[in-house]
Amino acid sequence: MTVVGDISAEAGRQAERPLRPVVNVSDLPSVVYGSRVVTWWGTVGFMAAEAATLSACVASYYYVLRNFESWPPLRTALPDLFIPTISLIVLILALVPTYLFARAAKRFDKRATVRWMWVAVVMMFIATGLRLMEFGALNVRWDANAYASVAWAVVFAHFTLLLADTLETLLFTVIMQRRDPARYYPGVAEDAFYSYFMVAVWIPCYVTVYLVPRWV
Amino acid sequence: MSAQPQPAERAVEPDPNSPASLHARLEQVWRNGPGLWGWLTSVNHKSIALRSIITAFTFFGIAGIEAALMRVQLARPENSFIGPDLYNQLFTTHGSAMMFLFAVPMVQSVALYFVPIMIGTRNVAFPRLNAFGYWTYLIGGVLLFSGLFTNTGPDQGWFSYVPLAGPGFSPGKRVDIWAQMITFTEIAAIVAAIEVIVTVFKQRAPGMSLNRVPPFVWAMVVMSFMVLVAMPYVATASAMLAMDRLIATQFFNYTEGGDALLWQHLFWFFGHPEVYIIFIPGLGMVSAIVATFSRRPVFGYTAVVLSLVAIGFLSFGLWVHHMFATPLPQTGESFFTAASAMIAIPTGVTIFCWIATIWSGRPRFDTPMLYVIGFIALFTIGGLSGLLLASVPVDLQITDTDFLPGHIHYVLLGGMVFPLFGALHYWFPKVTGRMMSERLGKVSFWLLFVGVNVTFFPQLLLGIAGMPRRVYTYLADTGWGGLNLTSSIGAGLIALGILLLVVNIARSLAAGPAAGADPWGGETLEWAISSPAPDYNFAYIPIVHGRSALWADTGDLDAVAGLREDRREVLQTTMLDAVPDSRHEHPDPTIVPLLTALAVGVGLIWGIFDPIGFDVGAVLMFIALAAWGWPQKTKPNSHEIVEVPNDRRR
Amino acid sequence: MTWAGSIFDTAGTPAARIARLAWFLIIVSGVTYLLVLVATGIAMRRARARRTQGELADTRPETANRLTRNVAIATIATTLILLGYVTATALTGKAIAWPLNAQRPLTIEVTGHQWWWQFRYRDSVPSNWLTTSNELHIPVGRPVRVILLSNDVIHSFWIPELHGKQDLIPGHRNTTWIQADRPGVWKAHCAEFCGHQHAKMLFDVVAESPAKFDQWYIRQLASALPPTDSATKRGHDVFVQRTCIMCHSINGTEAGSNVGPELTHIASRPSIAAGSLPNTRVNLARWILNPQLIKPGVRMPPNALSPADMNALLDYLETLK
Repeated sequence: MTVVGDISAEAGRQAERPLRPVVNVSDLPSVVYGSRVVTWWGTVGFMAAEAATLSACVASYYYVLRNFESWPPLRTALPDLFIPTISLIVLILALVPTYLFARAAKRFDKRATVRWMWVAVVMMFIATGLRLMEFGALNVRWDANAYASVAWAVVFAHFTLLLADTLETLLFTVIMQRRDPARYYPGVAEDAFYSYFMVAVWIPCYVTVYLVPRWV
Repeated sequence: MSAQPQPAERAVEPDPNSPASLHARLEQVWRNGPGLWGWLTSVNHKSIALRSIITAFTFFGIAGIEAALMRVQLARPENSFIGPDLYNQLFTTHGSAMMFLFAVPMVQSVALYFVPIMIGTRNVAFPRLNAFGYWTYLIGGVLLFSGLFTNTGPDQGWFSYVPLAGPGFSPGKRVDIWAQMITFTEIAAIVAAIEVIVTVFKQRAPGMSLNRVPPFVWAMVVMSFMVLVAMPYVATASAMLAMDRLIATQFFNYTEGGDALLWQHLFWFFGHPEVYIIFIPGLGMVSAIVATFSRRPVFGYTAVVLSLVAIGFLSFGLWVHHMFATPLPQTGESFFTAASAMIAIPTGVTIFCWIATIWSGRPRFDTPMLYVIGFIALFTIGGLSGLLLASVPVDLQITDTDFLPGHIHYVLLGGMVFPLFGALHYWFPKVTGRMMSERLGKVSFWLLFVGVNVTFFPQLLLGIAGMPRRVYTYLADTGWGGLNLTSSIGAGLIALGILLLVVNIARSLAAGPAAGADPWGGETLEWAISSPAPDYNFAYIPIVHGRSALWADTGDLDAVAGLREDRREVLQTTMLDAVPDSRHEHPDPTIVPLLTALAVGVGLIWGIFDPIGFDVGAVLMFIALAAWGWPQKTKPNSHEIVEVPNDRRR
Repeated sequence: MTWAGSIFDTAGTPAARIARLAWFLIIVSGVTYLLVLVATGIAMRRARARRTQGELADTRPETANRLTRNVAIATIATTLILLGYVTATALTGKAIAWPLNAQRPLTIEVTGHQWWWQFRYRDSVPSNWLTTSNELHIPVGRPVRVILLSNDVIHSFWIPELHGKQDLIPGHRNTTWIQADRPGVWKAHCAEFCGHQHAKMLFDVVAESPAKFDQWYIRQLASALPPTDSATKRGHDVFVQRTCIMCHSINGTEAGSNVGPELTHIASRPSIAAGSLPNTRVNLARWILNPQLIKPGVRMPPNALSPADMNALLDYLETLK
């Protein structure tokens, strides 16, 4: 097998290797779904980086916890449970229209897709608003002590994911309204895929920030 | 069906199926736009990678000059060439630039240039994202050195330990400039990593199943996965530091429950994989060179690939060996000694396999191969000195001494820069169409090889002699003057070697002999196309029949036809076996990636001074991303072939 | 081997055990390195022979099998060496741990400042606690527990002749131990980058017989004697009426600040400016006049004193033995 490289190198400067077509791929599809699309993989790549970022924040939270005898520290209030839990519920519920618009997108049903996307967008804006209220529900300013800083860090880091997903879904919704070429449906399905991740990765963060102080 | 025109009415037209016509049509579609605008809007992976390589090499040069200045200062005890403030800025920006602005971007750019060609595709998976990544990196680099040249250069060390780097002990904006430079380069690195992974997973040539992927490509994929997991940690840490300084968070302030060690854990959890992120691509380059210049495929392909993966995983379990002098439980520390030792095993396996390749090959010792031998000779010293450092009791004596710079430069110069320079001589013909001078190449090699040893072996000795590191001077009665002077002389040799290398590049660009497509007789796909490569890489996507794509077949290469020639289309294949799966249209050149990078730049740089900058940046980014994602006007003759999602193929 | 000041110039047990391990590892590393070079060299020579004989690359299965075997042997050898390495490390680690049956240990609390060292001896009698700066005396043969604290940023306590280093981290209480087994005088450097004058943050170490140590200790505990003649009186007045009193303390005077090193017995110290300048009259004068010229960035400001005032101050300081 190495004979070719060996002899040809001795022959000196080589010309290009001619390419001889033997297969024709012009009938391959140009719009495909799920992991057959590069943007799906790109999304997974960003998910990995974002999950790593959140894990750094959560790990810092537990690391700082070890510096305190009581958690939250003395004279620091527990975070409220009400708003954050409502916010969590709204987020999870927003996955229902998300799932529905993804399913409609795979059926190329424009009307259903757009309808459910609007529902999802509205719910995600509500969730974003609730998340902004959650910062108040932490009952402590970010600069009060290290507990406050790490709690804010976890909530804020995830907030950037939530905001990005909400705005992305809004953008897609607007695009889908105007257009109906088949090529945008896979993007819509990926947006749903990202939303599942965004909500799933919030759950351990929620537990860490709102429940752990009540347990330790 | 048109009637045959009369021969007398028609001038002789070029055959539309000739290679020349095909080349012309594809060039027309794939080339960059003209002039400055074309340069700013390019989404061609080779254009972007090449400018990124040049940018990285420029930062290397600046950081190298800083090193030379430091060595002049240290050549004599109590020297007054440079005072402590400037010295601290120099060593901080030297380390930061070398790690964040040279090493990682350089290996990623080499990947972005050659991986698509080696796997037989026409561009990376996300052409615009690639452009965005470069501009973001450039802004970060300019930021760091703008700081240095305005006397606001970071001065807290590239590792930026708190509390020294915190608001209490580093007033001004020096540290904040460093922290934001980290953010810029982290974004760029993650972007490049995603490009490499997705391109390799989805766009390989038909027939290039995973076990036929060249080891160089494997190394770049492993490195990219590591980037995705490690970089966010340093970005989180630097964001926390920036927030401590800007809005009074208390992450690292022990009086409010924060912890200086939190910084160290976060930073080194990134920092140790970081050096393997830099080193593994070096291994990939060595693999490529050894195979070509031994005239046989790399021995032990499976072992080499599995070792690369193992090194990638294991490197995440070593970070505490940077913290042995801190109050950590001793049992924990012993674990990290063992883990640090363990990573030597897969590293050794790769080196043994390359020695076996040379042993059974028919090697030629042209300049690229000299650099490989240099890599073995230098990196092994670095690795063995690393074992001394991994042993807790010995580490407590030699850590934070000059032994460390000795160790790190042996592994970084031996493990990455030497393979890089070998790869430079190896691939220069492919990029430029000209050969570099072998004579000058050999002279630079020897200057560098001797220079590295003369510079850094004395530093190993100085550490043992008791000299601490990160010092701008030392007292005369320590007796360290002789070894320091020797080290500084060595630095001069290195500078000379680099200078000759640059001269070699310049002369070869101007007047080097023509290279042809395959001057070395290589086995990987980049040697099948012309030098320099056309903008579209392959006129037809080749089909690969074996691990050594060009050595598996003689004569013509099988290929696929059917991709459109009137727009930018690439072929996507399945992940495991590279079966043709779908076609995908790529975007035309656009200014949006640059605008998005500028939006990020505005936000992050303004944010150094006022948090409102982040809000402004976020809004600008949203606008830019909306422009990015907005559907482009449908082109004529667009007909999509849609595959309904129940198809099971991946 | 007694390369003065190096990690091999050992004067105490932990350092001696570490030096032994270091030698062992250096020798093993050297041998390994030679083996790698030899293997590479043989590979290069065999391959060149193959080329001159016009042979092609050897990809025959029997060669592949042989090479696989050799790579496997090399890998197993590497693993075994590493196992030995880890074992030797663990054994040394145990051997240099704080001896649990330590007899009459001395406890010294070290506080790192930018850029000087504060030592507080915690005698068993609280009123005999001694605070001193930049000069560490220890008795030969007695284990010393060292508690490491920091007043500002991370520093690192390192006397290579006695033991490895440990960091002083604000917010953390780190500990190490040292024991000198022979008398000696050494210079120690701060070993963690701590800002502008990290390079010149040194301290003097004196290991002496227990009797001499006790004498030193008692002398250090004594307050400064009041000035006797007019020159030293004037010098004392310069000290307490000018800026010196804002940062420095002298036991027995009104000067009680601990922002900077305490100076009660400065005349007995071999060096000034955190171990970086020999303690001579001329050096002291230069240092007081403008420390920024000697250690740019240090926290002590320049002091414009008239020559008369300066001489008086120096006369007074020279009485502080």
